[in-house]
Amino acid sequence: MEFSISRDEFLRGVNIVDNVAVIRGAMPILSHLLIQTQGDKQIYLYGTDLELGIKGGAEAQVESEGSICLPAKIMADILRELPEGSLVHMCLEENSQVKISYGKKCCHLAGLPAEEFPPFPTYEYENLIPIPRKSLRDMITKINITVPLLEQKHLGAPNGALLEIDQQTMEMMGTDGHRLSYIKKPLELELSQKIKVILPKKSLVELKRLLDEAPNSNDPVLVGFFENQAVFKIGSIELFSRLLETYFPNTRPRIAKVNDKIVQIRRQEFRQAVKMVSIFTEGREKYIRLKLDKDTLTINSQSFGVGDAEDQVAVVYDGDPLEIGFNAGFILDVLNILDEEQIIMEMSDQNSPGVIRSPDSRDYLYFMMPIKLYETDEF
Amino acid sequence: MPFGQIVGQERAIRFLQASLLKGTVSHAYLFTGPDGVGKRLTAFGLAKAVNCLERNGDFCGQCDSCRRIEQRTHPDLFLIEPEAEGARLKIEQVRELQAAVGYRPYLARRAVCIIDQAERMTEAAANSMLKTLEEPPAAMLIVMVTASLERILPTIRSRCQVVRFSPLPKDDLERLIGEQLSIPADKVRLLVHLSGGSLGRARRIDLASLQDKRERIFGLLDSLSSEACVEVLFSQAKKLADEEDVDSLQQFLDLWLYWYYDLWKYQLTGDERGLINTDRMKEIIRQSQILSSHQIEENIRLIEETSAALQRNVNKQLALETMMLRLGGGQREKDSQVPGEG
Repeated sequence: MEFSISRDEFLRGVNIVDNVAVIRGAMPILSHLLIQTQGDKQIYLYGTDLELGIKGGAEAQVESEGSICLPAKIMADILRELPEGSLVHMCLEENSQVKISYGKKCCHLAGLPAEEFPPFPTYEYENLIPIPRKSLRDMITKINITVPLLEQKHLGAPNGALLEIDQQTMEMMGTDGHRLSYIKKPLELELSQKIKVILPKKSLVELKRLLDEAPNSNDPVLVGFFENQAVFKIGSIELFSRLLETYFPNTRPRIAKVNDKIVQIRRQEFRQAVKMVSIFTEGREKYIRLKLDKDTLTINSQSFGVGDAEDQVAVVYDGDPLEIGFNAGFILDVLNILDEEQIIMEMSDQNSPGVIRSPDSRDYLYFMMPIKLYETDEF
Repeated sequence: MPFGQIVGQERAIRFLQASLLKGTVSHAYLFTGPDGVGKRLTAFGLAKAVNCLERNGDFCGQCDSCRRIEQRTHPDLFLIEPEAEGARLKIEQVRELQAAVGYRPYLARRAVCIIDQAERMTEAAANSMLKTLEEPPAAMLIVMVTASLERILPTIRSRCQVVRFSPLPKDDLERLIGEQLSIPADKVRLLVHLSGGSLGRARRIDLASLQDKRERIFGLLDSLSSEACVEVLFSQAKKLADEEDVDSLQQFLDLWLYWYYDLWKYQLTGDERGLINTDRMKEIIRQSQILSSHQIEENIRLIEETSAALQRNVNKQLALETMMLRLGGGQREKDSQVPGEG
C-alpha cells in the first residue's frame, strides 16, 4: 500500500472517524482505524467501537493498493503536527509497519493487519432507501430527549429509539419510563416489507451530530437495514449502527388516546414562566404545579427553606379547571426544541400523562407522567 | 483444530456435539473438572462451533469466524478472566458484558461469553451475572469454566447446564506431553504422574526445579540409609520448610512417594516397565533388596500422612522432622537388624 494525500483532507477524515475509536478497551484493534485504498483516487477510513461504526472517504493519489489498521490517536497527533496544506506520503512496509513522511519529517508507525478489524456489512448503494434529510434530523432531535443513555430495566425503557418505516410513513418513538415521545413523517417509498428496528442512543447522538454539520443540505440520507446493523449514508460518510435486541414497550394505545382538556399556549411565554418557577424546585424531580382555569394557567413552586415562585400565563382554554404536578425539566426539554410559536398542551386528569404537541397536527406527541400533587412543607 | 483433536474429553465433547447437531444448545454451560484438562480449550471450541461458517456441529478452525475467535478479535466473543494472576473477577467486568447484551450480534450467529475461572467472581459479580443468566439474551451463549464447582454459587450452578471434564488418561497425557513439551523422554513418565492427569499442570512444572528436588531426595535417602546423625536430618527439614511453600513441598513429597512406589512395584513384580524413576534403575534394584515390603508400605503411608497434614496447615518443619525421623528410624532399625515397631 502506498499513497500520497493532502494533510488537511487526511486529518479531516481521521477526525470524523476517530470519534468512535475506543482508546482503552478489551480489544486493542478498536483503538485503530482501518485505512483502505479504493481505486487510484481515493482511500477509505473506518472506525468502530462495535456499537457504532463510521466510514469516511478522502481523496488521495494511490500508487499501490492495500489496507492496514493504524492507532487512531497517534495518527491524528502526527497529522496535526504536520504543516497545513502539506502533501503526506504513506507507505506500508514489512510487519504491518507504516512509514509516514513529509519532506524531511518521517515516522514509522506500527499497525495491525487489516484482517483483524471487525468487518463492516457490504451492500449495494442502489438498495438503500432515500429519506429526506430534514425529516430525519427533526425526528432524531425530537425523540432523542426521551431516550436514556443507559437501559432503564426497572422502567421497561430501552436505551434506544424504535424506528418503523413503511411505504407512506416513518415513525419513531422513544421512552425513558417517565416520558414518551412519538413522531410521524410522511414518506413515499417502494418497500417490500415494513422495517422495525431499535436504534441505540449512541448512534442517534452521532447521527444527529453528522446531520447538524450541514443542516440546510437537501440531499437525502440513504438508509439500509441488515440483520444486525443499519447503515446511514450522509454525503460521503457512512454510519453503521448496531441494532438493539431488546423489548420495546407497546406504546400505541397511549399514543392513540385523545385527552379532553386542550390548552393552547404561547411557547416562549410558557417556557420563561416554567424556567423562572423551576428555580424553586429541588432534586431531580423538579416538581412544579400547574393550575388551569378559564384562559389562564398558573404555575407555582415551593422549595423548603428557599422560597416560592408563581407566574401566570394567558392561554386559550374553555374547560373544567384542573390542578396537576409536573417535572419542570420535562416541560423545558420539549419547549426548547420545538420551534412553533403556539403549542398545545393536552391533559385529562391529575393522574394521567400530559401531552405537548404542535397546534395543527398530532404528528409529534410528547407525553410526560404527572407528579402526584403534594404541598411542600411550610417554611 | 476441530473437536476431534481435543484429547481425552470424549464424553463431554460427544454431549456438546449432540446438542449442536440437534439444535438444543443451552443458553449457559458450566464446564467443571480438574485444572488444565481442556475445559477452556473446549469452551473456545464450542464458541467456534456455534458460529463456524464451514461445518455443522464442529468447527473448521480455518474460516473467518474461527480465525477471529482463535485470535480473540471476534467482536462477539466476550472473554472474562482475572485481570492478573490470582485476581478476582470484578463486577465491572460483568457490567461490561451486560452493556453489550442488549445488542444483536455483530457478525456471529450467536455471541459467546466465556468466563474463565468463574469461581473467582466476587459475590457482587456473581449476583450481577445471575440476572443475565435469569433472562438470557436469545443470541448469546454463556460458558463458565471452573476447576472448583463447589465454589460457584448454587444459584448460578442451577441456572447452567453442568458439563463435567475428567482428568486426562495417562496414555493420552504421555503422548501430549511428548508432543507439546520439549522434555527428555525419560522424564515424561515422571511428569505424567506429577500432573495428576492435567496437561496444564504438567506445563507449569519446572523441570529444572524438579530435577533439583529429586537430587535432594536422593541425597536425603543416602543420609537416611547411612548412619547420619539426627541433626543432619533436622537441618535438612528446616531448610526445606524455610525455602519451599506448601505446593512445592507437596510436589517434593509426591516425588519421594513415587520413589517408594517404584521400589514397591519392582519388589513385587521384578518388572522395569511402568516404573517412574527409570533413570535410577540400579538404585531401585539395590534398595528393593535391602528394604522389606512392610517397610516400604510403612514409608509410603508415612509420606502420605505428612502430605495430608501439610494440606491442613500444620507446622511444616515439625511435620517434615517427624517424617524423616520415622523414615530414618525404620531404615536404621533394618540396618541394625532390630525388628521394626511398625
